[in-house]
Amino acid sequence: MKEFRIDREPRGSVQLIRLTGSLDMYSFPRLEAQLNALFQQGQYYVVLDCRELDYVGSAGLGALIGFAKQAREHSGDVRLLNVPERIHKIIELLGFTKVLKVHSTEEDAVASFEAK
Amino acid sequence: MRHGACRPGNILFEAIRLTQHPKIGLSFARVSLYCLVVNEVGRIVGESSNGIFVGCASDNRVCVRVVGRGTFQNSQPLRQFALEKIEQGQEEFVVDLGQCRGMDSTFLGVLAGIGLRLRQNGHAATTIQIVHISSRNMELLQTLGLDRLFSMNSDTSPPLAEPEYHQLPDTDLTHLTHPLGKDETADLMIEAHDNLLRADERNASKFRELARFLREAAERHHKNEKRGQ
Repeated sequence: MKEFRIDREPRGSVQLIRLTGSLDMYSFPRLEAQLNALFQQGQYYVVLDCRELDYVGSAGLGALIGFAKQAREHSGDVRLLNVPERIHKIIELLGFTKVLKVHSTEEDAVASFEAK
Repeated sequence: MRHGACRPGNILFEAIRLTQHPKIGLSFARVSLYCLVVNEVGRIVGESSNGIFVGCASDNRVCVRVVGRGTFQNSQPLRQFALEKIEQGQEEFVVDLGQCRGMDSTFLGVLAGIGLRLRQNGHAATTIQIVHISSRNMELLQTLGLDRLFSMNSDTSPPLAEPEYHQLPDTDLTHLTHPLGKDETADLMIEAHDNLLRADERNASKFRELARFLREAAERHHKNEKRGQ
């Protein structure tokens, strides 16, 4: 099992966050803290690269929904990128694909904010 | 190696596995539960070392052992099993988390629901014992205020005579045969997160958005279904 890691790479006004490992009850407070810090800095455009994500639990998705809601009040949002099939099944089952847009390329995900 | 019952026709056994600690390099022995999945014609079609295993101890306590992850995908069989046992008058549960690799909020909410139901029936908080709990899991349960509902014990020696375990159907996340549908999943998750909020009001800040999202999604779905009828 990979250790949970958050790597941030700015792409202009968009924050690209690469997640590695399991986004679960133990690790979601770290992501929540990172997203809160971004919000405090006025960074409202976030792309989460999930390619190296092994697992996502309901609490982790709750943190994303919370940030997305706040960010939308400032015309921002969260996009998901490179979501592995098994994780896509989970987020679709839980209805999260209706509120979180999923992209398959980094260019598309970043450009979706520029198009706003 | 100790054999036990699994699903009819399947073979459940305990095996000692040597595991090397990734940092200090020392090897240590660990007893794990395994289940060989046997099909209708007696052929072994798979091996499972994950799932939720249950049994009844000689002192009549209901024993639950979580092997691998406890998540929203395998919580429903445990919820159903526990409610049936409570209906039958069982009052004491022992949950062994010695082989539990992780739990999500829905699974924890289901455990909380069992504790709340027992308390509602007038039983003391200590009627659920969590045993072999790691410091990581203990911290998690304490953070969520669930230590008020359970008594927790990190002792590594088994506190009770080992029961004959059998695997609850559809709890091995690698072999889910009848996964819950959208509606059932949403209902389960809403109830589980409500349990967490009831167990400790400080959980509201952690799960408020998720609970609201799940409730709104379920309402939208029910409305769409009504329109479609």
